[in-house]
Amino acid sequence: MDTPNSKVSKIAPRKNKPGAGRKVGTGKFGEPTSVIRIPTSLESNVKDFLTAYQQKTKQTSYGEDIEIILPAIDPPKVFLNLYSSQVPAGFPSPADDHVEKRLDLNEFFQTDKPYVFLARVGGNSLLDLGIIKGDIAIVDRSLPVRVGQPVMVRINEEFTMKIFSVTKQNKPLLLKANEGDPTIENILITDDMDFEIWGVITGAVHKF
Amino acid sequence: MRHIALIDVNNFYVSCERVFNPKLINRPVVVLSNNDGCAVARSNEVKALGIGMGAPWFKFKDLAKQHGIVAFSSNYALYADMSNRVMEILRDFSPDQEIYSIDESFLDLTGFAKRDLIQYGQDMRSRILRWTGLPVCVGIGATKTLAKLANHCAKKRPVYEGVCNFNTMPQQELNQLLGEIAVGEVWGIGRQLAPKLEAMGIQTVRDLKQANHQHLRQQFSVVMQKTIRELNGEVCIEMEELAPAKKQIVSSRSFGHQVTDYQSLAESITLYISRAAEKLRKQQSYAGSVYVYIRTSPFKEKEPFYSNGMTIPLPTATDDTRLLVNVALWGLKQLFKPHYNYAKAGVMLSELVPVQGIQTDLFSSVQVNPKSSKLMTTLDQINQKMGKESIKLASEGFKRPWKMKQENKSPCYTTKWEDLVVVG
Repeated sequence: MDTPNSKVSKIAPRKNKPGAGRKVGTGKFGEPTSVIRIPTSLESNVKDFLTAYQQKTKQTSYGEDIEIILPAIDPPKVFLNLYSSQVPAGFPSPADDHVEKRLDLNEFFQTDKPYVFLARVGGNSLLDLGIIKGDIAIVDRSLPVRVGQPVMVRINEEFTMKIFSVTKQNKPLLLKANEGDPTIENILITDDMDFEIWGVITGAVHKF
Repeated sequence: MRHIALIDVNNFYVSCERVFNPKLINRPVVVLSNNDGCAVARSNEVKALGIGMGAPWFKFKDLAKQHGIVAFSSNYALYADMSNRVMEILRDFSPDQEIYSIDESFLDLTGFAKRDLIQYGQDMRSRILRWTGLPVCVGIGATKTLAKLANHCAKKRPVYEGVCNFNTMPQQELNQLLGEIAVGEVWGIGRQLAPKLEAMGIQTVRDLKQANHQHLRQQFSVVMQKTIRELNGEVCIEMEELAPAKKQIVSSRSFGHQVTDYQSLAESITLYISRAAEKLRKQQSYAGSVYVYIRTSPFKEKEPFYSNGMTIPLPTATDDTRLLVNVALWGLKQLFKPHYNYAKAGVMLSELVPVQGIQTDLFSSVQVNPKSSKLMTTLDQINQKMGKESIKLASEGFKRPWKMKQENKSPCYTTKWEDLVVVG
């Protein structure tokens, strides 16, 4: 049975002499072209597109000061996620169910909490606890203070680090933790002192 | 009835400085604006000396010396970090939070109405003071406008001990209290509208509350009508949980020294555009126009005055620093006149559109330039990781002789390793 399309195929191709006609790539698009049928209603759209395409391929230059906005012929790239294992095609990675977050020192020291601050250790009051001058102390302001804990305190206009304790009369007593240095002294807090526990020291970091 | 709280930090910048520097406690302390120009935060001791908000530093310098006032340049890195801590703590008290400014936050407590809200407010105060060292006050009312006023009372009237709840006050007591507060204290009234209202016989908040809102709407605007309805307990201004994307981004500074040459102005304009573009990308917007302005000092009466600015519309909205800089510098070239002593320059990005909403049509390639957006993202990421201005446009300049004065900035106690507070 003959269809309109099969009729087209019956038209005998014209035999051209080799090398005759327009050279490949010398047309208005600078590349080989081919003939297609298009719906009449879309003719003007396609023509506009081709005109724009032609302009783009021409690489026209009007000097540096004028910027020519060219139509987007090349579609913008879309980036897709690359999954670590493609399940349908092969054996899934046996580790996928066991992925865990890598250890994070912020989590360990709670340094991302709104009540945690860092302070540079400026003396050796707490040397025997392993807190050395130059270390970074982690200070937690949310914790209630208990006897025996290292603390950062304010006495009048100065900060200092000591171990918190109380006397039998329930007065705060700040103890040093450095047996080797007699110049550092314990401090008994008296009523005339403006005293505040700034925070509890929960750790110290030493970088070599 | 709604229960809306406004929490704000007392003398925020000064309080931040005091947390890390005990020598400032009970001393008069003032924090100055950019370029050490005016007082932007004052301790109570400074307020008592009669130094007003926004007072120019050069005017009270002598008084400062006489009374031992300690003056700081603004340390925004510190204030921003402390602000984030306060806001995070407040989020635990209600999921409905609107961060209103660096030191103010609204919380909708309507869902917690079964509790004693005054006690709840006291819990906020003591937790924030304990955890950050910052003192706050809490005001509670049926609307945001009332919450603001309640906060004002909590701060100014010691009897409330830092927490004032209008919702539990008998109507008569509340009206009496509002009758003692000047109308200018109402949110949105301010210095411009207050004299006009006073001229009409509306002196106090109570006068405004009882005024005819239809009548005042005709005289002023719909905003005034909303304010009056809010004062009467009717919610007209809702909580905005996500801060709305800014409609304009401004970046401008006074110079540390006067500037006369084009090159220095160009460097500063480039820097301001870079800062503004970074903010633009952070809120995921494109700018549709750039405004550039320069001016000499209005205070130096003997010198010739020049002030000029221009808006340059962009053919296509963009967030690319390089394009914005080119446009701004083109504008500067038109504005610049030699032989003037320039004191200030600035830029404003406006006609902002969200990245998502941008129209992409067949014949435009500029907006969806993945190369440009990738470059800008990389630039922002490097600068975030390696520190501000690790990578920048060369036209921002390197020496910056015009850069602003910040002569007495405190250490960045919470954001820089080398600035940690040292404790012996």
